[in-house]
Order: sequence, then C-alpha cells, then structure tokens
Amino acid sequence: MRVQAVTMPKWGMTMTEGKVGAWLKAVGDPVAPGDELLEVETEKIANVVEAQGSGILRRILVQPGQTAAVGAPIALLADADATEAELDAVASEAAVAEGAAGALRESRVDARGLSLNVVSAGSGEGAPLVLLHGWASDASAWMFVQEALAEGRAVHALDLPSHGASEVGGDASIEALADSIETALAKLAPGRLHLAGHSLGGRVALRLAARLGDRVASLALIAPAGLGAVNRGFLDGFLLADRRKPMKEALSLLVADPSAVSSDMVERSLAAKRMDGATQALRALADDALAAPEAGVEADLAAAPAPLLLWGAEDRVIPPAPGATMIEGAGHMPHMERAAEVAARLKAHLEAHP
Amino acid sequence: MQLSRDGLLRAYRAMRTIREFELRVHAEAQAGRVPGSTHLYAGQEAVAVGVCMALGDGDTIVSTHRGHGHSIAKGCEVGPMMAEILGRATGTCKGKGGSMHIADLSKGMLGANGIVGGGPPLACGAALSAKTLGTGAVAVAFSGDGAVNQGTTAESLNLAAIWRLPVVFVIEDNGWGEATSSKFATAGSIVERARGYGMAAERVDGLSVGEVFEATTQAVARARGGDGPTLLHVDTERFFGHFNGDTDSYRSDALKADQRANRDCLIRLRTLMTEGALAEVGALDAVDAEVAATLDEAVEAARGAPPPEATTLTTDVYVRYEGRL
Amino acid sequence: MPQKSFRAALNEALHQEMAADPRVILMGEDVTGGVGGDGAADAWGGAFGVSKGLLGRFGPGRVLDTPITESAFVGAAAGAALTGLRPVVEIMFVDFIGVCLDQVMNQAAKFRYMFGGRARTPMVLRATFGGGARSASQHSQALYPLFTHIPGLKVVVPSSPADAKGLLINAIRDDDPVVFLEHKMLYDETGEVPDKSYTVPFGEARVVREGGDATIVALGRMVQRAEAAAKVLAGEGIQASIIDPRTTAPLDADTIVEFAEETGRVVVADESSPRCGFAADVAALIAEEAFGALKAPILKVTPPHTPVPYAPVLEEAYLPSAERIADAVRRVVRA
Repeated sequence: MRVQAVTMPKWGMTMTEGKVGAWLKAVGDPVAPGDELLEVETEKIANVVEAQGSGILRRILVQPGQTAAVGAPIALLADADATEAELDAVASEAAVAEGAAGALRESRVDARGLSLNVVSAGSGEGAPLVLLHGWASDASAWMFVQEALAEGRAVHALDLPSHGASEVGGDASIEALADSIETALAKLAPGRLHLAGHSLGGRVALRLAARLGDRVASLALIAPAGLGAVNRGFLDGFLLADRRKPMKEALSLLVADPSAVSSDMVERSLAAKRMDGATQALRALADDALAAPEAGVEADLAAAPAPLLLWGAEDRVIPPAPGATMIEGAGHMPHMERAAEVAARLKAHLEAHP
Repeated sequence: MQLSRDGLLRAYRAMRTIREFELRVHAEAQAGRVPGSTHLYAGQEAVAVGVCMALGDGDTIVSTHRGHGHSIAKGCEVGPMMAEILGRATGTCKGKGGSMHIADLSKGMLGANGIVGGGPPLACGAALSAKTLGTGAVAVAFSGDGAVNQGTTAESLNLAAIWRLPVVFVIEDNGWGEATSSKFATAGSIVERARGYGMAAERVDGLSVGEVFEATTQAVARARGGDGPTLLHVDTERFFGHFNGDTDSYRSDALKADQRANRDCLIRLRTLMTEGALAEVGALDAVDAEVAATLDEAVEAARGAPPPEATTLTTDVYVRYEGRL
Repeated sequence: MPQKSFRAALNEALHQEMAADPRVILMGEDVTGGVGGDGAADAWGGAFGVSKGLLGRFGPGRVLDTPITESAFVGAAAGAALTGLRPVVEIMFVDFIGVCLDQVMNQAAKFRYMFGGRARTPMVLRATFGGGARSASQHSQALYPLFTHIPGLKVVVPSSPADAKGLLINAIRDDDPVVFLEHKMLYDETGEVPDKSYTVPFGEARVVREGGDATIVALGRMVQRAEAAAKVLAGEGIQASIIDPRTTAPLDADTIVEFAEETGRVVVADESSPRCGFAADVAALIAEEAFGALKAPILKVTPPHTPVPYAPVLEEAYLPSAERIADAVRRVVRA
C-alpha cells in the first residue's frame, strides 16, 4: 500500500475521541514501526501513539489542540514518490466516512423564563428552519431528516417545554406553547424562517405561522393535531405505561410496523417519563392542548401560508385529514418511518418558498 | 432539680406499673404462655422512671433486650405491650416483634434491641437528627453494664463527643451481664472511660428515683444547651435471672433475699414518701390496687386477643417493594 | 446529550437531591477531606471524588466527615433515618461491612418489620466494590449477595453513568434502606447523562441488547464485558441478548424469565463468589420458571471461589473476562 492513513487509536472501552497534543515527527521525517509519532490526550489518559506502518510522514491532518474521533485519519504515511493527488484521494475518502458522523450542535435558548434545549445543524444564507416535535417526543425525532434539510440553511430542532432536555414548566395550552416558542424564535430565528411541526408540534407551528405572518416563508405540517381527532387511547396508554411491556404496546400504536419498536425506543420513552415533572406535564398537555386542538384551526389556516400537509397512510393516532399528501407504509411518525421520502418532500417545499 | 411531691407520686405509680407488669409477664412465662424469652426489669424501675421523667414527649430513647421498663416509663401502653409479648395481633408491633423489639415511635421509644450495644449508635443518630433539624430534642441510650465493653458503645461515646451530640448514655449497672458479674467483665471505671472522651460523667444511685431524676435533668439540660453528651453510670438491682429460663444459680439465695429486703427501689420510695409525710400509706396502697387492676385487665385482654393473620407474615418488610419478595 | 463520567453522574445526583430536600445529609470517612487541617477544605470530596463540591454548597451541618468508626456512624444513620433525616452514609469499601454489619442487617433492615410496620428507615448506604484495581482481598469483594440475602434491604448495582444517577436519586427518595454499590472500576467510564433530575426505578432490568440466540444476564462491570463478548459473538453469527438487572433486590424476575424463555440458552455473568452468589440465585429462578424452554444447562461465569488475589496476572484470571463469557455462550449455543 503506497499511502497509509494513521488513525486516532481507541484506548479503553469508552474512548470515542482524542485530542492531538504534540506531533513528535515533522512532515518529511522517515517513520519506522514503533517510532513515537504524536501525543494524544483523552478524558482519562495522555499517551504517545507509535507508528504501525513505515514510510515518510507526508501529511498531518489534525493539528495540536484539535480533536478527532476514534478511527478518524490524523496523518498520512507514504513513500517519497506518492503524489499529492494520491494523498488527496486517501485523505478525502477517509474524511467522507468520518464527516458523515455530522456536526449537531446543542444550545439553550430562553423562552419566558424557561430554558429550552435546541439541536441545530447546518448554516448558510437560507432562512432557518425550525422543527417542533410531538407530544412525549423530543428533538431527536427529527434525527433522520435534520441533516438532509440543513443544506445552505440552519435547521433548529427544539425540545418543547417539559420535553427532552428543556426545563419543565409553562402552561399546557396551545396558546402557552406558542408563546414560549415565539419568545425562543426571537433569539433563534429573528427574521424570516420556515416552520415545520409534527402532531402537537404541528398544531403549535400552525398557530405560530398564523401569528408571525410574513416572517414565515413556509409551513409544513406532519400529522398535526387539530386536523383530526387525537386517539385518546394512545395518550392514556402512554401515560399509564410504567414498565417495558406496557410501553412497548403503547408505542406500537405510533408506527405502521410494530416490530419497528425497538428496546431502545422503549427505554428512551420510559426514561423521558421519569424526568422530574415530565409525566405530570404530559398529562396536563393531554388534558389541555390535546383535548380540543381543533379550536381555532380554521382561523389559523386562513392566516398562515398554505402548508405542506404530510400524513402517514396508516396513522392510528390521528386519522389522515382529507387533502394530505399520504406517505405509504408509515404510521404516525413518517419522518422516522419513511425519513428519506419525508426529507425529500420537505426539502422541495423549502426550496419552493425561499 | 428535685422531684416534687406530685412528681414522686407519679414516679411511684410508674414504678409500680413496671413492677406489676413484670410480675405478670413472669407469671405468663412460667405458665408457658409467652412464646419466646423475656428479660425482666423488676428491681430497676427507679432508673427507667427517673430518667424518663426528666424527658419531654419530643425526646427519644433507645432501649435494650430488657426493655419493658423503659417502654412503660416513656409512655407505651401496657395493654398493647402485654399483647405483643404474648404474640397477638393487637400488640404494639402487631405481634411481629415480641418482647425484645417493642417500639412506639409516636412516644419517642425507638425500640428495645436484641443486640447488646445496638442502641448507642442509634441514639447518636436520633441526636444527630435533633441537632440537624433543630428540634431541641435529646436522645437517651439505655445500656446495660454488659454493653459497655461492646465496640459500638466505645465508638458511640467518641462520636457523640466529637460531634457534641445531644445524647445521654445511661449505663444501668445491675451487676450482671447475663451470668457474668460486671466486676469480672469490666476493666477500670466506666465513668473514667467516658471522661476519657472528654465527656461529663457521674455515678448515680439507681435505687433512688430522685437522684436518677436529678442527674438526668442536668444531663438533659447540658445536651439541650448544646454542650454535648453525658454518661450516667447508674447502679441498680436485677431481681430475676437474666431471662425467664435462667435458674439464676450463679447468685446465692442470700444475695437475692438481701436484694428484695434491702435494695428494692419501690420500698425505698414508699418509705421515703410515707416517712417524709409526702404521702399516706393508704394513698399508695390505692395506687397499688389501681395498677394491679389495670394490669389484670391488660393480661386478660392480651390472652383473649387473636394471633396475627397468616397474611401478615409477608407484610411491612418494606414501605414499597417493586417486585416479588 | 452531555457525556459524563459515572463519578460525575453520582455527584450530580447528590447535588440535586440535597438541594431538593433539606433532610438529606451525607456522612462518611473523608466525604469532604481536610477537616481539622490547615490546608484546603473539601480536599478529597470523597475517597473517590464522588462528593466533591457538596461541602461548599450545603455546609458542614449536612456533609459530615466521620472518624473511622463505622459501627457508630452507620448505626447513627439508621437512628437518624428513624427520626426524620434521610441520610446517605458511605463506607469506603463494601469489604468494611464486617465492622458494621449489625447496624445494617439487624437494625436498619428489620425496624419496619419488627416494629409492625410502624417505622421507616429511609437511608442509603453507599459503598464501592469490585476487583480490577489490584486492591487485593480485603478491598475488592463483590458482596451484593450478602445484602440481597437480608430481607428488608434493597440492593442496587448500577452499570452505567445514566443508570447510576437515576438509581441514586431513586434510592435517596426511597423510604426503605438501600445498599447502593458502586464498582470502583466504573467511576471513570463515561456515557450520556441528562442534566435534569430523573429516576430509574428499582426492580426493572435494562435490556442492553436484543438477540435471539442466547441470553446473558450481567450485573455491574460484567455488563460491559458482556457487551464486548456479544460483539465478538455477532461476528460469529451468534446474536445474544444482554439483560442488566440493575437491582438485585427487588429483582426483575419477569424480564429475566422472559428472555430466558425466548432464547432457551442462558449465561449468567457475575463478579460475586460462585457459592450462594447472585449467579446461583438467577440460575435457580430460571431453572424453576423457564425449565420447559431451556435448550441447554444454565452456565454461570463467575470468579473461582477464592479471595481476590493481588498480582495483576492473577486478578485478571480471577475476574470473569469477555472471552470467558463469549465461550460460555458458544457452549450453550452448541449444546
């Protein structure tokens, strides 16, 4: 092999990344197996990386002070006569594999005294997209579509009040949720923005779009509450589910294919309920915001931009509204069950209304 | 502070109640109606009563395996106590604890304890609670002379001293740790041991309820005032054997006769009150009769009470258990 | 979600619960460190750094360094719990239970029952346990079977930072006496841990991994070794489920039996001694309740029945390794 990538080693079970300390060889130095190449620091240890291959140190990819994931390329060893093009090829191949891990950023934003968690991806000239998840969910619901949508724009997925890593608090009405998010938007997306919401988050997005008028470039709603009756049985089942089996049953109503409900989903739903105050907050939302979400829908639809309306064809939580674009093979969570299709449709909608 | 005339009368009643209670427990045990062992407090009444009269309702005590006297002195009711000893559902502990585990937290009685030396650390804990929560309460640890050589006792004295805990250690020295005399078992002086921890300590005549009361009052004031623990080494007499099956052959008949005749704290109190014109003989006799009647009722009720339901075998192991026992 | 160490997760739990409830106090040897010295206060923040920062925030009235006097201070914790406080009492190594077992076994564990349900003892006894640090026989034992054996106690053995935080918060809020055992080799392990306060319930096992060919029941540090074994086995086409009971008392018998029935092939990986240990308890449960579904004998992967040795080569041989776990799975699968 003419070009070898030196990669970040893995020291111990839980190391996921390391910080480059000092390089002990310079570009152009010959390297033999066993030579000390660089110093690396992790949370627990600092140590020296020894070369495993031999050749000339042709390129250093990660500088001192920078961090790289375990397995990521940090330098290239090659024969003296390997060309820059050959080095480029190996470097970019390795980087693509690495880069796909993506860069999601977490931050906090204040919303009327409540601290909300925001998961953001991307940046750029385009109007930012704000994503609002559904009842008992959190920003991670958007994980399969968020990065695809983040080309040329920032995409901010919020944890609604009392959900995810956001503080617990606030009233349980659609109005109160809209108030909170509106305050957050003043910091997060003060100018023109795109809004998208799912289920409860969809209803809130619709209310916000009606309020914000021209600021909203486009609106996308996925199975929004208010355009169909919410299956109270699902809400009650979820609220009562205190252990694995009942929770698995409750979650199976959410998706078209119940076998798609993994142990991990079940664990995370139970864990979410066990955050202090979370279950009470969910109950309050079920009894308030989700009790009569259709109130005011007509007026909001009239005031908001015409929404892209997506619905899973097999939704058992909120029956599909007439006129919605149906996503085949999906239940109440098409942005997770048929992510690629949903991402494509959302992207097209964003691009059509810059 | 000395016991008033009224106080002496109350002391007499309490001591008589304990004496009569123990005599009846003895009778029930001899008749085979007590399922387990009993450890009788008869002869030591002045200590429990003298100490507890110096305490308030919010103060706590921990006791020993010989706990009936402490329980009664601290306000536990004789009816449920007798039922508990007979293993009935109406017992203080619903029949689940027995003689050695009688407790009533509502009266500040944190339990008799079957482990020698088990009490002192618990009392340090109760004192720590009082100090941390600012209740002003005091904890009393009753221990026998036998417990004095248990590691837990030494550790508790040290801990109480360094943390200046509001606790009083009452060492009831009845001369015998089971069948071994305390003179044989204990090196040096108990009072000096306590003073070695920098703690206030004194020796008290446990046959005088007045002296016990006075000494405890001072110790309690010291504790409540934030000045830390006290140890009282109280000399007393144990009339019966260690437990109901003990033939007590290691003590001579002459010694036991002498105890009953000359070192009975109840006789001493009676004499003190009648000769000091603090009470009429008749009044005290009336108390005796009332107490006897109350105890007879308690025994009768206990004998007639039902045993615990079988289902209670597995209840109250936990406050709440998320699984199968 | 933020990555935090097991130690930091426990520290957070203590901070959050002490802030929420003024009755929660912490006591133990060197939980602050530096008392009476002329140097820094809170010098240690616990022998393993778990209680750092608590002294500064809550003061010496609630964070108490003790002398080396376990029977007194563990007994004091029991007495304090009976009378209105919610103490978290620490013994530095679970091996030290020898000098204070009475306070836990005969006092705290039994008050509620002996007193006819008329008492509660909301205390948490925290202790480190486990081998791997070359701390030799008297500082390396895994004594959870001892406590599990005693009715009236709850016994918690977390395997991950997220579980550690939620289980400790649950333990502090629990009204029964809880023995909370922290594997000393896990303190530096990191994982995702939410910032907010939350509970993980007792008596609920975590399904760490799902696989249809075999079931591995693993506790404490054995969970990571089971995960490593499962990874190797997956490469050989064997998919193993891993069940982490998290608490030995109460025990999530239902989940253990469910997964035993599903695969019919069970391995129990446990760091406690093989005689009357946790693995034996789980094996007996499965043998009784899932007998018909078993396709192979239940295999226990435990240390040998010896004290924990000192020399690294011996200690490594003593502790159940990922390879021994994988090997046991291969054997039940081939049976």
